[in-house]
Amino acid sequence: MSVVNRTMYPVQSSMDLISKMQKQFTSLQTQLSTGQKAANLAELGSDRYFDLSIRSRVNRLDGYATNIKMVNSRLDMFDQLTTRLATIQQGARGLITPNNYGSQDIILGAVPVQGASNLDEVINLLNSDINGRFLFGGSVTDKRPVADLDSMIYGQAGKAGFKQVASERQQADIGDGLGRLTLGGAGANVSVTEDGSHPFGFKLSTVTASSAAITLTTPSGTPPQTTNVQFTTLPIAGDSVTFGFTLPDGTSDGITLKAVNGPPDVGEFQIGADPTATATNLKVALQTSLQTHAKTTLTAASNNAAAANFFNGHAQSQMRVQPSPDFAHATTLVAADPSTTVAWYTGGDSATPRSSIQARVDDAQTVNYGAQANESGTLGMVRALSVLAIQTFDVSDPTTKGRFDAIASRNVQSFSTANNANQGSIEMLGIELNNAKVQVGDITSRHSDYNTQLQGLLAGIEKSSDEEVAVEITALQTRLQATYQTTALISQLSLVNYIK
Amino acid sequence: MGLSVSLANALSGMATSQASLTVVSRNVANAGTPGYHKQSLSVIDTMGVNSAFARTGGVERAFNSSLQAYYNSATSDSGYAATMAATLDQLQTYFGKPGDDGSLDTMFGSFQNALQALGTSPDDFATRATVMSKAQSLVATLNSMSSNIQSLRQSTETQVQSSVSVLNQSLNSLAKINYHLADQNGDAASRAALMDQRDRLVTSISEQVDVQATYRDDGTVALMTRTGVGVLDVKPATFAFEPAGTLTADKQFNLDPTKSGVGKLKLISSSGLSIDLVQQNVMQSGTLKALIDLRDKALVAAQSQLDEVAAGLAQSMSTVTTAGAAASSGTQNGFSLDLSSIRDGNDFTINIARGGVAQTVKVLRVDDASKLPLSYTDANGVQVVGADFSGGAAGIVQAVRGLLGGGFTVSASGSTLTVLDDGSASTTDVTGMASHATSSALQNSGLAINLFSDNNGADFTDSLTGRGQKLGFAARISVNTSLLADNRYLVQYQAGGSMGDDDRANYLLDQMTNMRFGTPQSNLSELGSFRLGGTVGDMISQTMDYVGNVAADATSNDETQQTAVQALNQRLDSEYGVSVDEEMARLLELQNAYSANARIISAVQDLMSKLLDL
Repeated sequence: MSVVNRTMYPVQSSMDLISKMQKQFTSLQTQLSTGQKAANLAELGSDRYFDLSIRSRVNRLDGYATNIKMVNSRLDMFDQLTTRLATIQQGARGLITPNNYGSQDIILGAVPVQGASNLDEVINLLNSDINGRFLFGGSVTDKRPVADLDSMIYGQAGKAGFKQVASERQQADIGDGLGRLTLGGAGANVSVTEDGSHPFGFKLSTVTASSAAITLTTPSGTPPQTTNVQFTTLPIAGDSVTFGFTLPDGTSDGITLKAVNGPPDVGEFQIGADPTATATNLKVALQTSLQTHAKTTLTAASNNAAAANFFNGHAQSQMRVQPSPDFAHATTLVAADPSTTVAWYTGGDSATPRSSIQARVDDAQTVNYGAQANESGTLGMVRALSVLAIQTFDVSDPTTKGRFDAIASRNVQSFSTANNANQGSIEMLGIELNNAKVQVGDITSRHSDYNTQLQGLLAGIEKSSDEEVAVEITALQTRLQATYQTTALISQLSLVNYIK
Repeated sequence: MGLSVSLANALSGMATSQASLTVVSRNVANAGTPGYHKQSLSVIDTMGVNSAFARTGGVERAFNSSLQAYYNSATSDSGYAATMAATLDQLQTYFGKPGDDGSLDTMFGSFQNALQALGTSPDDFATRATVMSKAQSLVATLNSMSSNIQSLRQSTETQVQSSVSVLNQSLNSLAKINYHLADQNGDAASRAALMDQRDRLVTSISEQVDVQATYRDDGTVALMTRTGVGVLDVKPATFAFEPAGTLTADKQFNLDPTKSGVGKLKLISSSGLSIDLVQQNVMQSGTLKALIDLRDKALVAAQSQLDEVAAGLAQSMSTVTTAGAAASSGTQNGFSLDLSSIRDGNDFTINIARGGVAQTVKVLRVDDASKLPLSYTDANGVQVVGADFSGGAAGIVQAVRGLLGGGFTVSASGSTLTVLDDGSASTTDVTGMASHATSSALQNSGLAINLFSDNNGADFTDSLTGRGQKLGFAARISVNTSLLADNRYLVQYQAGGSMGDDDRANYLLDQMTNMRFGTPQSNLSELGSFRLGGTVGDMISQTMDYVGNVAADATSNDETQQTAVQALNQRLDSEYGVSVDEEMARLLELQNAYSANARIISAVQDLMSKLLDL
């Protein structure tokens, strides 16, 4: 439309006003039906920038809300998982009690099976995923953090599992039967010597005697250490010699041998005719005791040490026995080759597992809710249950009950409530994740308040008030009607109509 | 004195009445004709030898030259305002209302939220795919908005062309009318009709170009622009427009005609002298001026703001920030920084304090020697200089010294630049140095990533070479195809890294919310002098606010102009318009006069016959 058309055919100004009013009418109608003051960017007027910044704020809150929803569903899942883990822990605690073999020694048979099935469940829980996201792998959330039961215990595709690693360790610890110790000594001497400088078997720690007839050489020197018991005269019945050992898992064990006059029972030695004969008797008794202890406490300790080496925790590497010249005479532990050993945990390894996963739920606030299967709580459970799972308790073997007791007393501690206060225990994990949930809840309610405020502000800028628009429409209608009427009237008033 | 005198008088009266009736009837007939100026007949009483009779003194046409001049200028301004308002209104609809589905801020918001979700679930394929699709939508919005802006520019050229042909026709017609008017022999009524046509044409010309009309005594008119260039004086000048073909963002107006990429609007005088109307800035108002302003300023400004947004978006994702290492020598402390990763268009900053007043300076790598020396203060108030990095760190020592001024020791070794304060005098301090380089690989080069790329997958480094990489980037920006093929790059910043690692996602989000940009120089145009500064989100808000503002201003300006034109119309109507009532009243008068004259003739006849019957 050219300006000429608009201006050189002068429409009556009243007509022009009418068309303007009609336009206004249409715009008010639009406002009434959409509830929006402005139909486009320009009409928003001076509040435009304010509007834009509020909208970007609201949009960000929407984004946080989506994140919070996601995080909450994960935290709910965690809640269930930790509760179940705690229940398993409790059940396992009741399973193994030293000196409790059940009627007909039923517990001896049940423990390995129960251990294996508990372990299976723990592994499953640790491998839980939500929407393909694994929860117990720290920052590595895209693959199963823990190997499955079969591979973990029995190995997989040429890679050694725990059972094999533990058996190798057991061979290294027991050596030729005496727990890597050699007995010697000429005449009235009994000497006990470690067979080399290595971490395996019994380690001599103390030797004590309750007899003036005995001269002791306490274990000393750089490994291999040696200790010596010398009978200066004959001991009297009731005198005793105690050898103290440190076991591979760090626990201690002791063998006390008591002098008797008659034929010796277990833990006794006969006083001979002279110190030399007595020394020989002591040596025989010590050998028998060592053989028994190697099959009970040392084996239990060896299994636990193997578990500690195989199920590596934070910043530790998996260790295995170096078979040189063979396992029974091995002298070193080496880092396991991942191509020959099953890695039990392949998730992320952060010193602070909680902060390995952070969710942005606010501009400056993050929620930490990562968890790793190699944290102390779950790690301890997996170790202990694995040790139980690889056992076979043969009731015909006289050392079986001793071994059971040794294993039970060691591993029941892993399930003990005394660990609850430790960093990374299952209970601590539950508490920390719950804290995260509470934190998220607080943020959610703050966001929802904030969102309401912002929506109010937005409405103030963008929404038109129905009442206001209605009043304006009425006023406009009155004006428009009046204009129509007067225009019509005036158009009748022409001299033309009155000329006859 | 005798009856014959009375008869003669009555006859003259009847003749004038008849002539008046002709005028009245013409006025009534043309009451609705556009541009018709009401006419009137002047009647003169003439003293004869022995009588006084009436005779017509010629037809007069209502005309007020000062009102006409005012009207012409108002038409120009209204033409300018209406064209501006129409095009800018179209522009603002492309941007959409804040919060609308396709609006830029909504697109950006959803992209940001997708990145947030990526931080929470980096291992989820669907989440990563969402990030990519949101990035694509955002890029598509920028692309389509740029192409809309460019097609608006293109349509201004088309409009200029049609406007030029209308102008030339009008000018030719006006020249012919001038020729006819110069001939004084014509009938008075037809002269009036010619003048009506003349005024219509002048108005139609002034709508396009702001012309001043000089009305001569003989009824002819001469036109010249307000700036004094003759458009019509006897012979008409010709407007000529050479369109530039398809317009793109990099085709811009330049004072140097060899560098100008847009169509040329020329005025060729009757003597054959050609003058470039845009280059000489001849026009001040009118539709043509509005179209040229839109093409060269308003729409260019809108495009350059979009380019800023696109550049900010690409750079916020791709910038690797490396902090300098602390360095010292004796009592002097400072920082040293490796400059080897800085690419063309990248920069490094030095934070200094002089006398306790903190200040940031920025050194930009400029490979195009023709752009040097370069020195300006950006929209965030940071002092920026360009430097040639080809000589390693040693090559820019001088530039940095010049930038920092006294009190600092600047040295270089290999690609490392060291800046130290004045030591024990302690009037100056170096508080930090950092390089901001564009990531060069998808993996193993930090958390940043080239999520967005230029044509053919080229990295966007904001190089100044040639016309500068930023120019028209909003039209070219695209999503890196390697990432579309494998969206795991959004997470794996190290080859084989964990898919659960949220570091890259969070880094990108942080960059987007924290990295600040500033429009470098405003050398584009007055309308583009609104400089953007802040984060990408800020810049988007500023762009939308600016476009809305400009459109609202144009609309309100248009309304003001229309009101002014309307007021003038009423004046014109009262001065030139035909009032039917008035004409009817005159008709009655004339009827009466005619009857009276006829009565006199009949009376004279009566008397004569009485006389003859004697």
